[in-house]
Amino acid sequence: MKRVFGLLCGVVVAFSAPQSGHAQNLILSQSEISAALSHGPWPLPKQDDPSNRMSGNAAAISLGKKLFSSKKLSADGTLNCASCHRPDAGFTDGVAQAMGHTRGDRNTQALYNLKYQRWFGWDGRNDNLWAQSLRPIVRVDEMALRTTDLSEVLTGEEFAAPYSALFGSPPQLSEQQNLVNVGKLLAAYIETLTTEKTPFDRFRDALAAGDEAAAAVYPEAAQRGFRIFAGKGKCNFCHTGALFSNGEFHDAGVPYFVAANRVDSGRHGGIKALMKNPYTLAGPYSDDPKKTGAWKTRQLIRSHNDFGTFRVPSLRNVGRTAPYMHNGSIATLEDVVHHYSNIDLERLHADGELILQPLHLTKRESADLVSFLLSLTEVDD
Amino acid sequence: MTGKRIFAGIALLAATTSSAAACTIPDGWTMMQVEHAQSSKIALELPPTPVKIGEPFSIDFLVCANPQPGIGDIRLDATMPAHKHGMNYKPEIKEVADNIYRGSGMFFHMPGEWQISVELLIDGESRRFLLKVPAR
Repeated sequence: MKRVFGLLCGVVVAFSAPQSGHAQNLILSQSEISAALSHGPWPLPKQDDPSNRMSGNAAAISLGKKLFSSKKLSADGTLNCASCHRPDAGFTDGVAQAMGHTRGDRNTQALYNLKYQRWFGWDGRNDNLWAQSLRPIVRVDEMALRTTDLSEVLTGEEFAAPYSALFGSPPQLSEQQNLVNVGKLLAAYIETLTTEKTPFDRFRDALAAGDEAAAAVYPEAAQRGFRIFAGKGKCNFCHTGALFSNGEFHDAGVPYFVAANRVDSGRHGGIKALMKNPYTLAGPYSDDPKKTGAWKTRQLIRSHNDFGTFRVPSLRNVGRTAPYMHNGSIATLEDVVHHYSNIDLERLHADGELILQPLHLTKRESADLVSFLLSLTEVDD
Repeated sequence: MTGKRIFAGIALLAATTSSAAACTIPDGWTMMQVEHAQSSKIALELPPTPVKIGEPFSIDFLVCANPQPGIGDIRLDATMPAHKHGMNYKPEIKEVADNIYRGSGMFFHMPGEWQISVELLIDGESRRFLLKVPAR
């Protein structure tokens, strides 16, 4: 945490004013500028989730925020959503693998900008945010609450009035419906967690406006880093668009063995779970009669190549979400760059995608790429 | 589902002596490449490209063949040959007019060159048509 804060202080100094004694220039080529423009504009247009009738509802958002921090949603009253998704830590927990009632296999993902995602979870086992939000409540290794106990929680003094105003009296609803409702309240709140413009966005805005002087305020180191990101690094093949993620699943050469006799199947297992999931966009709990977005689950292709692939995370606010990768196995952004620079092709699927190649970056190139990545992080005022 | 529609006309001229449905290729349409030499001809009407990645889109395509394949004998797919991967979603095909089909749920998730393929199964024989399309 201290190290991340130190890095961020460096970012504030680096991006608040041009480096003293050194004039900045716009050094990107026209094609590189075009590539930069593809990563915006930011923020994206506001959108509510039609499958969640609580989406955008102020009362629901307020109640969802209370539920997010309530330990009453855990069986033993010791955990809440914020136990792993800490608001003071980029909505992650700063550790390699999440710790609920037991240690999990995967890194806690940040909750920024989730409303723009297509799939949820490292393995995409949910096709909507409210389904993803209810899952940790009932998982035995996370909050472990029994659905039979949820009605009692919701009729308690803290939640009874606002919950009933939105949904009706909990005892009159089924256990499943109460669980889904809580998922929708949490999702309504989590949708509000969006990031502001970053130094890169201001650079992009200047490029879009043709304001070279304003664009040149963006440090040359970060520009060189972007040149690698969109050039020989091919990072933008997967980290695309305004979110810096294509939202799909890939093999990044990170081992998926979690124990001697156990593997994390990633997307392969996620699709299996999705096919049995009653909480999909096509299912009975969606509030959308048009079933918008249900096509992606209906038309999903299942392939053995999905094994060991994980969802491409957004790089927005990446400076705040260490450690990295699906299992939190890479501690810093410098280490991430080193991983890709020296990637072991033997670790990739034998018949997988031919995208990643060792980059063999120099020290300066690695530092430049890190500088660019840090520029995707909000700067505290 | 919103998205761009790419109208592709596929004209297939049979090389047999049996009567063949003649397909007139509209003005301004682009010929598609065929995978194996045959007398078939394929034409399509390109929309503005590059195709936007990360958004589902539909393709309309015209099939003129003798005999005309059933909808179950038409396959629509796309790959990125340079990366050796395809789409993550299988398009749904439905007939929208006589000999005109719509493939919905096309989805390009990476920038670069994609190759759309339409495969027709006619009398047990596969006839494949290809089109390279940029995506960004």
